[in-house]
Amino acid sequence: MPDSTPAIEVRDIVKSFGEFRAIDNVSLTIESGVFITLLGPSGCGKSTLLRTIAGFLTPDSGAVIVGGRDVTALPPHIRPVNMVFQDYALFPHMSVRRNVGFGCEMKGMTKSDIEARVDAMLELIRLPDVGDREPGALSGGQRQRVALARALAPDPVSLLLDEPLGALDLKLRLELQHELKSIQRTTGKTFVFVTHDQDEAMSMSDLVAVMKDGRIEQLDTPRAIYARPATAFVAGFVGAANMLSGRVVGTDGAALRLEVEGLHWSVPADAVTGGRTVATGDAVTLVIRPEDVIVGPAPGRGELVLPARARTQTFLGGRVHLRCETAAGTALTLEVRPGSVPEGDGAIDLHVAPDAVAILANDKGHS
Amino acid sequence: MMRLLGRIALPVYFWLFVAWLFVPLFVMAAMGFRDSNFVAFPIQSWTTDWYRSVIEDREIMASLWVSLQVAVLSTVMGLGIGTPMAFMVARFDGVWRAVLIAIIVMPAFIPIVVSAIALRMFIGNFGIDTGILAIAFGHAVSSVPFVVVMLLTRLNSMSANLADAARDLGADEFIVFFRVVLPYLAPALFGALMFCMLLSFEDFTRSFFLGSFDPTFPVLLFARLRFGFDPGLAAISTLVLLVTIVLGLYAERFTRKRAAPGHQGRLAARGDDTNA
Repeated sequence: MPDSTPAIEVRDIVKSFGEFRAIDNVSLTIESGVFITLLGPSGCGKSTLLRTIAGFLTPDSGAVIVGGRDVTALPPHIRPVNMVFQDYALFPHMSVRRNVGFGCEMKGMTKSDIEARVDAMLELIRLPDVGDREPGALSGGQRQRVALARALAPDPVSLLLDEPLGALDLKLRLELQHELKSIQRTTGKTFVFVTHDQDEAMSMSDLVAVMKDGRIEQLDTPRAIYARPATAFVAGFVGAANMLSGRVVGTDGAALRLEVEGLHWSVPADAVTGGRTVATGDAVTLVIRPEDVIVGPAPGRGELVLPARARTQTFLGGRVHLRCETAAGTALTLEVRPGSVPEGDGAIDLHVAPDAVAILANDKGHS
Repeated sequence: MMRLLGRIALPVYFWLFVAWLFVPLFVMAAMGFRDSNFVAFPIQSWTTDWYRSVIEDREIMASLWVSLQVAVLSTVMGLGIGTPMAFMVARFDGVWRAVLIAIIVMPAFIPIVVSAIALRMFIGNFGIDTGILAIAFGHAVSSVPFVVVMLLTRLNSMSANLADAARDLGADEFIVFFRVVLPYLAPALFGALMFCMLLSFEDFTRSFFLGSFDPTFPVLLFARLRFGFDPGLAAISTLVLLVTIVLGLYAERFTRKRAAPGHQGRLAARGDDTNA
């Protein structure tokens, strides 16, 4: 199959549970070989979307296309996608080998083919010696790897992973994140990963789709999502964000003149995110990441300056979270080097490079 | 002083309870070896004659055979009726589930004498004779609640994802049931089977009301009792006790062994050290 066929296409999917619209007209095209993460808080529709792709849920309207084939009407056991569940869902009465080989067996592969495939999969997850054990005798991390091997064994078009690391402790989670990513690279499979953990999404994905209220708020690379969030929700959900309200007072070519808390700032016009444009008089929200602020003195050329009052500092080892307040009373959290700002309340100047600011066009009648 | 009393009071109480449970059984077992026609203490001379005579007693052997037939028949009925009901109840949630369980469990709370008499009149109207089939019906009525509750408990512990995972890997509903759901239920099914057998074997009231001239074992024992105790009754009771204990322990062990890996169905494993 040529690479130009997308692995998965979701077209205009709507799915409601009673009055609740879990997926609200979502379309998404996932190219082959991509690691994409559906990221969002609980209830945002990410798991519903995943289960719709898997075939456990039938959409009210819209289509699911896997490998160029419309599978909307097909039950899960015929769809060429396999799922990895958060609770592993390994068959407790079967050995690891039988678990991993189950999908191949269902495909009607010969015994020797299945054995070879299972061996290859156990090798891939670096657990070649656990084949004869029962899942109950494995640790949490091992079970999750076996679940991964089981889902990969039938060679699906795409792997669907539903918060697969959610039940593991932090250290193991980080370890498995690396392993998942490397297995995805080795196999070249399309991974659709669901999580509410932004760090997990950022560290593994080629693309992140941030979801809220059954819609995709933004689909972009992790870097772009972080640096240029399209909405206030994305800015707040992915990483820490300082938000200031402002108003456009003029545009001249490549620059945008803003009035922010009584100050006049000039930022690049392409700082406006989400493919939006703004006009003079529009209200906007400025997003500034904590680490993009330098506490004065020593302003560079053309930097934006914001007077503020320092409040409290939280020591976090290599860095310090500094809470401060602008003259207009907006609370900001900055990340600074330990010792770079004197403790206690005091007037400070904050400096921000104009291209480090993301400008969100405010929706009318929408926050 | 009070603290010491407080510390030993509960253990003492516990051992008194154990004695209350087991001393009568030991006395009964001992009586079976008494070389005399009467049950009494002290035992001056010992014999195994009572055991021999019991095994040679055709009436007792016949009653055991009747009891076995009733037990097997009622167990088949109990599991056959209870299993689909457990699956049905598992589909419901909330109030409806509570209502269904209440209805299903009801037979366990109806006084046995009442239900036995009701069944006796009922089968009369349908032209079913008293005897093995009628008793088995009666026993099945009383064992269904236990079957449903035992299977339901196991079904509840089964992650919904387990069946979904099988479907996802290409299994149709038929394969999901026979390769995943049924094996998962096996320990509970086995437990329910043993429970049905024991429940049926030990039942007196229903067997008495629904039986014909071939008595089940407990009914025969009762009939014999009216002619007074003899050490033979103690001997046969001891044999029954031993068989029951062995079967019970085996069932216990089997159920435990099979059930253990099932705990992973839920989100039991948090971190690497679980089940280490």
